Amino acid sequence: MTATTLSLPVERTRRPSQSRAEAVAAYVLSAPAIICLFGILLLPTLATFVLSFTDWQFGAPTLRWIGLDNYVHLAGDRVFWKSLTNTVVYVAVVVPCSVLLGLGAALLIEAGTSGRAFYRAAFFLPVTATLIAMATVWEIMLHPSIGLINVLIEALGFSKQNWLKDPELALFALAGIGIWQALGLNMVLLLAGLKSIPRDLYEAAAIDGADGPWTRFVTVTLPMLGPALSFVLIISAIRSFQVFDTVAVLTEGGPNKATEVLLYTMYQEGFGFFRAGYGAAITVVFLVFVLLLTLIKARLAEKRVHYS
Amino acid sequence: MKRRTLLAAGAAATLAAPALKAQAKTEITVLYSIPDLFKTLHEQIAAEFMKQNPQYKVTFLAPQPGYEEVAQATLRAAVTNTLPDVIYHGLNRQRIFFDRKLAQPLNPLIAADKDFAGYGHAPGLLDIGRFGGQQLGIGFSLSTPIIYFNADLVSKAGGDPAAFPATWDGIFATARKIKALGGATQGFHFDWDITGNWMWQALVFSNGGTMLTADEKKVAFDGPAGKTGLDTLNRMVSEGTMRDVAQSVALQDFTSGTLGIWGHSTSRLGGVTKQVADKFKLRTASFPTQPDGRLPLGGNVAMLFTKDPARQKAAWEYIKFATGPIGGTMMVQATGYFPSALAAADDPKLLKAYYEANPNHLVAIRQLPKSTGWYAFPGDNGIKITDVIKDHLQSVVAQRAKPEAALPQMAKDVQALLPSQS
Repeated sequence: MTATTLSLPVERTRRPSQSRAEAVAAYVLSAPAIICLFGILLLPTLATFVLSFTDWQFGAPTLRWIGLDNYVHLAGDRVFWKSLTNTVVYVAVVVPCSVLLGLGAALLIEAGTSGRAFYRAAFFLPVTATLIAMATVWEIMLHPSIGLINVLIEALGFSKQNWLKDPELALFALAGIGIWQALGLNMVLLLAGLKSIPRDLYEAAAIDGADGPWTRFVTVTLPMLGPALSFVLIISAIRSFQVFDTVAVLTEGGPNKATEVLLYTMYQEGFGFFRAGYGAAITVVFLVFVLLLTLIKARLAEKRVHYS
Repeated sequence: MKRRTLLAAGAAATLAAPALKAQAKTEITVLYSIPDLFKTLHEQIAAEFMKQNPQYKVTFLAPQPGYEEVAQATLRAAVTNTLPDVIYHGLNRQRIFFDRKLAQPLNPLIAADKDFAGYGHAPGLLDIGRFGGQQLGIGFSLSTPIIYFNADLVSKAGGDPAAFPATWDGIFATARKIKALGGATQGFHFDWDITGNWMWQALVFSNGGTMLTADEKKVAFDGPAGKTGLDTLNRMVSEGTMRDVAQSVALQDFTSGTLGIWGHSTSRLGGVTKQVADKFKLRTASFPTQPDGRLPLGGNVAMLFTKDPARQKAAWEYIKFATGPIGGTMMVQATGYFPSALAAADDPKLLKAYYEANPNHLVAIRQLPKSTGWYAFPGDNGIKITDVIKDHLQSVVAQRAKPEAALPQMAKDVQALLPSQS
């Protein structure tokens, strides 16, 4: 119906009623997208924001406006600060490691001549696997007495570690799983970036005397990889900020909040302790971080971090 | 044409007949938790109920893993208006459904039911489901904390299983001797992290203390009873050979015969007895308690959530059956809990013979005179408080905090989360 309206021949002089009809058609056509945008993105965000100023208890019929109380409590809440610190540490470990390893894997695959498809698939597999199921596999691998990792460590002459129960190690054990999971996606994105670098640039650089692998990397590959790399960095950061599944499945934030991260604290407060208003305040803090990262990404995209 | 219509009408009528009959059945939906303990049992009880009452149909929703989760699921269902008709809740989770006015009072149904009085529910056990004068829950499976021990290991370590120590000091000494047997043998474990601070409450109550003052305004567990309680928890590690391991590890160790003494709820006794079989001689003992001490009851109650009168009637018949003598008898034989309808335990037709043949199950019942409720903290932060306490207990068990430092800090943190005095 609407399609036929659109395909009507455009007349030179449009009568007002017709242009209004077109406007209506345009709104009708974009309505589903607008409704979805509001229904599943903007309104829930707004609702969360409003809830964060109330004492709403999950499932309660009433709520009370309490202003900034939730945020004041957040500022003095040890668990929240622990959770925020843990999240930042997690991001600080996972992002550089997964990007550097992803870049390394991409460069090696690109430079190699055989088995490219195999390596690409092997590194990409963790991305396609369900993290919850994989977390269970990791749980067995990290088991304090019979886990493969401890068995290997012991064979190498080191002492066994209680990976998920030791407060000093648990967060890094989870970060290791996070790196393993993020590496594949970073690799694929960077491979695409590498593919788009014109060959002749390398030849031109070689003529100018840059023919060692390191010089080639620094003068051609890295600058040309700028857009892909900045994209990968921001996406990894946002994804690491969202770490939740491994924490929920493997450690439940323990031992003693050593692996408590923002999204898990939010879930616990909102749905475990039924303090939904407080949970909403944590969500707002989380959204601010993600928004900041997104703004940085937008700014970088604006500056167009490449040399074409 | 006409014949066809007639035929069709005839066929429709034949098809409709059983459909009508099925429609006459009142269906109720039921939600419960901890499927590894209860799934088979609930299905058996419901099957028996439907056999005796063919006019009702019981449908189970997918069970939740534990008491927290089933409480969350209930609140979620209340928001979306999809509450099941009957839900089994942990004793310590009933309070929120009273506060939110979600659970439907059973009093009118009890008053209209002349049979119920004869079901032999112990009056003290009905009290645990009573809030503000309303009967909201009826005990389905109840427990107290007890001590399990491997009589073979105790004998091997030079102890006498018939005279098992009644004090923590005695238990720790035996545990050290068992640990000294060497190899994979472990001395002792205490499941201090059971949900809802249950074992912490047991340690404080058994020393004559309470969680809060009588007016529920101030923390009371930082008194002498709480000091002894937290000190006992600390000594479990420093003197009692307890390791900082998960409950699942302790359970595996005990049933495989490598753990000597294990403090846990009586609830698992049925399952553990089956798993142990003839591997070693399993015995149980009372939880060490001071003369003025008490022990928290654990377990869960059936609560009514439907407001529809016809469903309420059906749900009541089901609750009555499941918590009554027949349901209770099936429950005792499948688990280690005891029933609210305690009269069944003395009934030769029901449980008398079972208890005589399984004296291990009697320990929990013998502790009943000392029992008290599973305390739920008041106010909006009630559940958050249990998590705060758990964290402090964890730091003591991990030996990263001294009990004398952890207790005041724990009291301060909990006090801050209690409803303000205004």
